[in-house]
Amino acid sequence: MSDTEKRLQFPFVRIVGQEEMKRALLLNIIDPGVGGVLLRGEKGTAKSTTVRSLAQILPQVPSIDGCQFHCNPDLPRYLCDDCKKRMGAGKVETHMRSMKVVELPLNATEDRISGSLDIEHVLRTGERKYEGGVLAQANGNLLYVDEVNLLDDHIVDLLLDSAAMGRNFVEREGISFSHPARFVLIGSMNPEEGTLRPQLMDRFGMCVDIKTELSPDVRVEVIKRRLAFDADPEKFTDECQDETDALREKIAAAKAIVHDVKVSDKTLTAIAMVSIQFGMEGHRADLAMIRAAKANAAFEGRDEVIFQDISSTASLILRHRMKSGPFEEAQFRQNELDSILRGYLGS
Amino acid sequence: MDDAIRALTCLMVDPELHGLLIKGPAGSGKSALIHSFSRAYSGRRAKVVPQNITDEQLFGSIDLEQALTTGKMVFEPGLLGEEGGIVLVDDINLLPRNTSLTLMDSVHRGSVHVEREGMSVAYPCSVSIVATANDREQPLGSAIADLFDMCVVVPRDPDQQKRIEVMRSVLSDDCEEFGRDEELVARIERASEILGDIKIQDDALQVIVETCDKYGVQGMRGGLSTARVSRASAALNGHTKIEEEDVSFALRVCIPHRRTRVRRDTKEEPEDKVQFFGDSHMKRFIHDERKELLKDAEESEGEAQAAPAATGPSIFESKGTEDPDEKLVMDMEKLFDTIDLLDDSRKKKGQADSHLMRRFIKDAGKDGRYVSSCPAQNSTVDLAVDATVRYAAPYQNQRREITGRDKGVIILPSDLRQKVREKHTSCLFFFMVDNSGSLVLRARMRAVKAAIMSMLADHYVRKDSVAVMTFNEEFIGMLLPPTRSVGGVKKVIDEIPTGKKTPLSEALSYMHQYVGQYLRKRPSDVAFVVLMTDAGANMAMNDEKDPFEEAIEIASHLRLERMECVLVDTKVSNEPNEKARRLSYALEAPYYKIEDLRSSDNIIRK
Repeated sequence: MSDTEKRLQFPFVRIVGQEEMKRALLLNIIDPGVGGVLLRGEKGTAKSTTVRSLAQILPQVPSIDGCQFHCNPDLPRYLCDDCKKRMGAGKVETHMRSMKVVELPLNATEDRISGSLDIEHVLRTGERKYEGGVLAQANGNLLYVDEVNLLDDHIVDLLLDSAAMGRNFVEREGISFSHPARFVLIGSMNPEEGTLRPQLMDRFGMCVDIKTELSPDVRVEVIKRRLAFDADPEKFTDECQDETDALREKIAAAKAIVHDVKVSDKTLTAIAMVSIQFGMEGHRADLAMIRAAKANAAFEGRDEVIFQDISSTASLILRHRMKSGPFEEAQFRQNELDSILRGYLGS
Repeated sequence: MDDAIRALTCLMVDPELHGLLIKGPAGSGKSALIHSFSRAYSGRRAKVVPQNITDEQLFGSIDLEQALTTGKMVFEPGLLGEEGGIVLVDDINLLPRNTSLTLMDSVHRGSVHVEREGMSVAYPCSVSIVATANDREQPLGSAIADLFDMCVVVPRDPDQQKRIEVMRSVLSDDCEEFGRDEELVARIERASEILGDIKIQDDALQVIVETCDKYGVQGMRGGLSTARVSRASAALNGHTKIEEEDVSFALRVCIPHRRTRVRRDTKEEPEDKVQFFGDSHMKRFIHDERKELLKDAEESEGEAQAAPAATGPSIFESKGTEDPDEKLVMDMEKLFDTIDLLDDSRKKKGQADSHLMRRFIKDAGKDGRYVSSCPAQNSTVDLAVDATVRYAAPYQNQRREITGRDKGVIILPSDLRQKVREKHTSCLFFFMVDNSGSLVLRARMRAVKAAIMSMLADHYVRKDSVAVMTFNEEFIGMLLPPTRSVGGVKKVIDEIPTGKKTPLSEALSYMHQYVGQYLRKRPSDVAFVVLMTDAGANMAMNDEKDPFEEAIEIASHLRLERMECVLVDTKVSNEPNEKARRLSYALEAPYYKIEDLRSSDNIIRK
C-alpha cells in the first residue's frame, strides 16, 4: 500500500467505539500466533474501515533484502528456499519495513492468490522464478478478506491450506514450488448474508461480534468525524498524528516484550480449566488464550499475565467455538469465566 | 419523479455520495430518466452495465488481443475506470451477489482492486452508480441496498397526461432540447463549490440520528448518507445553512430502504420527547416525514395494483359488491405487499436475507446461469472457453517458442477452466393452519383462503409448490400435499374440517419432519412456512407438560437449513396476544396480526 493511500484511510485512533474489535486486532498484531480475527457484524459498523486503517499503526519488522516474500531473518524456520541458502552462506542484508494490510478481493482468481511460475525464466536460466500472488504478499503481513463468507469454495480451500501449513504450494505448468505464507488472517462478514463453513470458522483464533453503536451521541459523533475527515483528510489525519505515532510505538514496544511475558503455572492451570469447562476441543483455544493474554499484558506494559488479561480476552476466543447442544444455543457467560479464573488466580 | 431528479442532482454535487438506487416496476421510466439526466447534465451518455456482464468487463482484466499476439500482459480497465462518469446498472437485483458487492465496495473505496489472470492491479474509481431494481422479480439484499446512499421509489405513472409527455420525450429522443442543460450544470457546479462551507448543525444531526434509531437502521451508513444528502440539498438551494426541508428530503431518500422497522404505532408519536428546530417545526417535520413514508408505501401499493396481478383490477373497482372472501384476498394481498415492500422488516438479525438469497444456488449441473469459472475438474464437459483462453494467453509467446508452432492458441491442461453456474431454486409455500376452536373459525378460514390465494397471485412462479397442512385434536396432517396445481387449492380450502383442541407441539413436530423430508429430497429447494394460529395450545404430547410451554420448547428447536417461517396471528382481539408473540420469537419468525392488515388498509385508504 502506497503512502498516499495510507493517508487517505480514516485514522484508526479516531474510530469511535468498537473497542472489542480494536483490541482483538491489536493483540493479533502484537502476536500473530493468536491466530487471526473474524469480524462478524451488521453492515455499516466500520469493519472494513478499521481493518484498512490498521496500516497506519503497524510496526516495523526486519526483512531480508531482495526477497519477494519479505522473509524475516529472525524467524529461521519460516524462510523461503532462497533465503535459507543465502542465510547459510551468510550473504544477507536486511532492512526494516512496515507490516502492511494485504487484501484479497472477492473476485480474485486462484492463480493470483497462489502465484505462478515465470516459465520463460525457468527455461532460459534453469532457475525457478516465481511470480508471487496474494499469499506471497501476505507473508509476514495481515491478510484481510472482506465478506469472507461469500468467497468461492475453491478459493477458501486454497486459503485454508496455506493458513494451516504456513506454506503455499504451487503446482502449475508441471513444476512444483512452495514458499512461506504466514499471515494474520482477518476476515469480516455480515451474518445476514450466509454462514461460514465450520472449518474456516475454527481457523480464526478470535471472533468479534460487532454491533452498531446505539447511543445517539455516539452516532452523532461518528457522522461528525466522518464529515470532518471527508472535508479535509490531510488536516484531520495530521491532527491526530501524535496519537497515531504513540499507538504505533506502544504496539512496537509490546511486540518487543511479548515473548518475555511470564505465565505462571497457576495461570496455565486456570486456562486449562477454562477450556475444559467451556468444552473446547483440541488445544487451539488454549494456546490462543495464553497468547492473547500475553499480548494483552505486553500491550499494557506488564511482564506478567494477570487475571484481567485473561478475563478480558478469553471471550473472543471461546465464544465462536462453543458447541451448541441439540437443545440449546451455546451461550457465553462472562461471570462463569471470571469465577473459574478467580478460583485459580484470585482477582 | 421529482425526488428522483433531486437525488440524481445531489449525487452529482457531493463526490462522497456514491450511489442512487431507483426502485419501481418495469416500465416506470427508471432508465429513461437516468439517460436523459446524464445527457442533460454533461452531454454524455451514462455507461450501461448489461445484465450478462462478467467481472472481467466490469472491473477489468488482461487485454486478450495484446496477450495473444505479443505475449505482453496489459491490463485493460473495465467500466469502472471511467473518470467521474455515471455507471447505470439496470436491474441490479438480478446481478450475481458478489459482483454487485464488489462493485459497490470499489465505488466506496474509490479504487478498484483486481487480482486475476496473472495481474495485480489497483486503479482509481470515481464513478457514481445509479442502479435500478424491481423487487418483484428478485429482491435486492439489504446489505447491498445499504451501500446505496439514496433510494427512490418510482411509481408507474398513472397520469395519462404525463404518459403522453413521456412518450413524446422518448420519441423526440434525439432532439436538441434534450441536450446539455446549461442551467442545471451551472447549478450543480455552484453547489459543489459551496458544499464545503456548509456545516451541519447539531440539531439536524440529532434529528437524523433519532430517525435512524426509530426505524431501526443498522450501522452508520444511513446516518452518514442522510447528513451528506442534506448538505448537498442545501447547497443546491444556494443556502449556506441546512434547512428543515433539506433534512426532510434526505431522510425520505436515505432511510426507507434501510429501515428494519415499520412504525405502525404512529398515533403514539412521542412528539414532546424531541425538540428540534423549535417545537412546532418539529411537529410539522415528524408529520411530513411520516406522511412521506406512508406515501412511499402507498406508491408501492399503487405499483402492486398496476402490475397485472392474477386477481385483476375488476375486483378492485367493484367495491361494495364484492364477496367478503375476495375482499380479504385483497387485504391479504396488501399485507403481503407491505411485507414485500418492507422486506427488511421481514427479516431479523442472523436470518435476514437468507430466504431470499437462497433463491440462487450454485448448481453442479449444466443448466443455470454462467457466473464465473473455476479450474476444470477431470473430464468436464462444461468448459468456460473465454476464461480458458484468458488463462492461457500470457504464456502463448513462450509456448510458441518451446513448441515451434506459430499458429493458433496453445492450451495446456492446466489452463482449462469450467463454468460455475447458478440457478433459481423453487420454493414450497407451506401453509400450516390451526383449524381448532370454533370462536372465530369462520373468519379465520376465510383469512386462510385469502392468504393462500394472495400469496399464489404474488409469489407463485412456475415450479413453486403449495401445500396446506391443518391441525386439531382429530387430525394432524396434509390437507393438500405439495402441489404445483394452483387450481385445486381453492376447492380444498373450502372443505377444511374443524375441531376443538389445539395440539400445537405435535403439529410443529409433524411440520418439521414433513418439511425436512421434503427438502432433503429436493436439495435445491427452499420452504417458506406460514403458520396461522392463535397459539392457544391446549394439548401436549407429554401429559406432564404445559401444552404451550412444550410448543415453545419445540418451536425453538425447529431449524431447517432451507426453511423460513412467518407467523400470522389469527386471534381477533385488541389485546396483545403474548402467546403468539412468544411463539414467533421461538420460531424466529416475523410476526403479523390479522388486525395489522385491517389497520394498514385504513392507512392506505386515506
